Amino acid sequence: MQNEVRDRVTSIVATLGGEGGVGTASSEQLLLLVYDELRRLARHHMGGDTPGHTLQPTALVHEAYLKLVDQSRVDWRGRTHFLAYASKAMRNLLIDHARARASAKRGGGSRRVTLVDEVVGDRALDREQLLSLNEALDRLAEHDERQARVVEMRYFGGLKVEEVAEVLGVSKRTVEGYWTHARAWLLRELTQGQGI
Amino acid sequence: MSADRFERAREVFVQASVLTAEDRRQFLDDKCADDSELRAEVEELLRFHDMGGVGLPPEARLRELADGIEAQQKIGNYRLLRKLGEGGMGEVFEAEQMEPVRRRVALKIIKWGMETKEVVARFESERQALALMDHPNIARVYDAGATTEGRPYFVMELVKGVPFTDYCDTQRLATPERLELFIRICSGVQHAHQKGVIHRDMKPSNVLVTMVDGRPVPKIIDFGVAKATSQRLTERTVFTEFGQWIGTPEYMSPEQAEMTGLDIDTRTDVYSLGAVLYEVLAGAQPFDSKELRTSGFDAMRRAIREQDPKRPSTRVSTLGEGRETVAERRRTDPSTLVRMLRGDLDWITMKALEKDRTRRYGSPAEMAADVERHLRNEPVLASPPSTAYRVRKFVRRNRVAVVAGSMVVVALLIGIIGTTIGLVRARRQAESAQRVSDFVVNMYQDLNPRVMRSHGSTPEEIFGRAIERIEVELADEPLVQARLLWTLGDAYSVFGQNERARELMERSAQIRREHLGEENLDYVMSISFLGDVLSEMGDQQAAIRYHEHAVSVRRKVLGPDHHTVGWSLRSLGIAHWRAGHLDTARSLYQESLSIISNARGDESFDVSITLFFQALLARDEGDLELSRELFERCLDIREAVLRPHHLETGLCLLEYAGVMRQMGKDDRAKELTSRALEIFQQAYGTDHLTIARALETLAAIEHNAGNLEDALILYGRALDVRRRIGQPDLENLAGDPDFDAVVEAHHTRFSEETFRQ
Repeated sequence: MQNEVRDRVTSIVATLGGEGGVGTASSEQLLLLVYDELRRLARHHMGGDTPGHTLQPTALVHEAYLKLVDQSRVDWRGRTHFLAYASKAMRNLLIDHARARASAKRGGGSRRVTLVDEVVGDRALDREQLLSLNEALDRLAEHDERQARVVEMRYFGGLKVEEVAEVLGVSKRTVEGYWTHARAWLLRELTQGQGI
Repeated sequence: MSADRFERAREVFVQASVLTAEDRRQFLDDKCADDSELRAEVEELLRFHDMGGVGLPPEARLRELADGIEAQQKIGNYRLLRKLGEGGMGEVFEAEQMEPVRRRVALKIIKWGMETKEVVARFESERQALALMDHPNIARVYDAGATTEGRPYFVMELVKGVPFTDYCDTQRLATPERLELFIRICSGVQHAHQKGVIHRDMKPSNVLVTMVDGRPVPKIIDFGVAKATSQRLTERTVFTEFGQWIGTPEYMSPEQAEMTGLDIDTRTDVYSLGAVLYEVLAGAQPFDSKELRTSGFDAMRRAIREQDPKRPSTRVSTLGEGRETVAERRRTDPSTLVRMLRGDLDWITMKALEKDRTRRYGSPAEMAADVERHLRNEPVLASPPSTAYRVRKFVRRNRVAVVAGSMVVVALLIGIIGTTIGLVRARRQAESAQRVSDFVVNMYQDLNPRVMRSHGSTPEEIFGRAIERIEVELADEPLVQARLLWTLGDAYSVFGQNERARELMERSAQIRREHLGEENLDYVMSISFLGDVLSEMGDQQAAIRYHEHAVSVRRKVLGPDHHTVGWSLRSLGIAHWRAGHLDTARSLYQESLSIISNARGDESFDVSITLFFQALLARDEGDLELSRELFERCLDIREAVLRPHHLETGLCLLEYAGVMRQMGKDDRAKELTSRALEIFQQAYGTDHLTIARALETLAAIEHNAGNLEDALILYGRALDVRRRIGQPDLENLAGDPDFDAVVEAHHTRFSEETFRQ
């Protein structure tokens, strides 16, 4: 079973970044497979009984790659594209989970973040902040789909600037600019509401 | 905002973001010269940019998602899996050992800056001993090392359990169940001691209770850690720079608190076991944690070395509101719990907590054996901790050389020590160490012996031994014998132990009569006291006989005006008064008063005693005005000649108040009683019969005045005092459903009256 999945994912990934791209069906399938794998990994890492330490989502994404893809059949380009997909899967997973938790907790809904201190710099966001961020990211996509994807890949997949540039087919400088701008833009969204 | 404008703003923002504030202004002036909206947008984004932008990826989310996973951190051969806890000394992780065996372990990383090499070296020196330990109640210690950052760490058997006290409380274990677990902890510590390992940091959080085959098994962790990490205890190592504590002063033995840090032996663990037992029994630590930790370094050490903790049973009864919770966690009620702890368990705990380690149990096994004896209802080895210890402390305080000395003094002191214990037992208000040692000091000074020796034992044994010694070893010194018996008897009567006092006085009188005859003053002294005791016990006939004889002998030998004749007449009068012969009593008092006044002066305390009894007599005869006058005179004298707040003054005030009440002068009565109450409280603290009586008088006055609410409160306080006094009958009553019902009825009645108002 695991081998079948691995074969399937590898063969899809092998075509990624190549000429002609990948079909929609394959694309969706890949997303689902990666999603499942991420969830499985998260559960696997649970190990003990009580939460103690944190894990970088990006580490999980990379781990999923090692698990799902036969690296001998895929080049660095395939790997980068896989990670781009995995970022999306990771985002979905986190958001789904946060929604489930939030609604389980108090009947859904999310709140606007008002305290700048809580969301800036090197602090991780909490569940509700994450949901707010997700919404803000959707609004960003309305302005510029590609910029939103930069955030998705950097934020949820831990891709490096050059990897994102490779996936999107743009320059590193562009990615850097998008990323810098998005972080400021998103922070404004999170702290001020609807924005522009 | 159109896509166009969005992109335009982004472009300007990105370019501006890398510039300094100065350059930005210039740059924006340039770029947005004619577009204030654009400029506002960019400037706003730059502000958020300067704040750092949105936070980093949501790692915390994933923790929930995955429910916990340690970032693949490795230390030596160990992969950290997750953090189990964090304490003053460091963090503990669950870790996976890779080789030579693959297993889960607990890895403790020491936090504070200490000489890592030294720590590891100290651990190495004990490693062999640690390896020899093999006991079901000890978590094994495998390894120690240093992280790449240079922090020392220890690797131990992984125990998944909860701290001992927490386990007992959450499982609501009854006291015997707690003791069973405690015995096993002792056996673990004993095993370690046999292998030459001292724990040095025994405390509830270092004993984890884990379930094995459905049964709780306590496991002691951290063996070897304390020693390896031990530093000379200094202010710097005990407090961090933020004033937080590192060690655990609540369980620290006095010798550890000494700070010499050198001379620690297995009895240190016995002490800490005592502290653990204390907490698990009483639901509180021997020393108030908050007090200890806020008292400052030196005060903390002094407390640990010098301050005697309350007994567990006393501690429970002083917990206030918390009593209920503590009792409930032991599946009982407060008064039952107090009764259960009083005696054996108090003594066992206090013996382990002795300041002087030579007085503690010699080993954890000895302690466990005593706990087992208690569980089997056999007599325990531990005895009331106060006796010898307090005397010894007293001696130390007074810097009296303790050497072997004369039989007489030793026997006397033993008797007095026994008496002290009798006092303590009879009146718990005297329980505080200070007051007891004050008492001993007084007796000591009265006797002025040059030598003192202590015999630690129960008061009964001390008493028995003292009598035995007096009887046997002084058999050919009958007069010394008689004097000692009299001294002991006198001491007992002072403390209201009349039955015992009577025995001793009778024996003393008997010896003196045989050797000195009935016309002898010493014999008369014996029978005078005997008469007083008998009178108090209700045998007025015998009392009258003795006092009459005393009067006649003293008159004959000393002359009719001697003050002791006055004493005997007064005693005789009291016996007649008690027997109801009021006229006889009146004339005897009169005669006594004139003799004593002439011999000792009108204003002597001795005179005030006679006045006091005259006042009582007048009261009984219904001559309240005379009684008032006599009490006034008595009071004037006592206030003039006694030190302020003397108990005798208090007693006079209280009786006087009673007369004032009878005369309808409640205001005056209230004032007198309040003064009396103040004196009693100063003398006795909170719990004494006289305090209860004063409160009851005040309550009656308030009740009379229609202040029912105040009356109710005062009655309640009086009742509380009576309950706490520990007079056997009342003590047994407290907690008795019938008694409670009576109390309830009282309260109801008062409440109803209050309502009607």
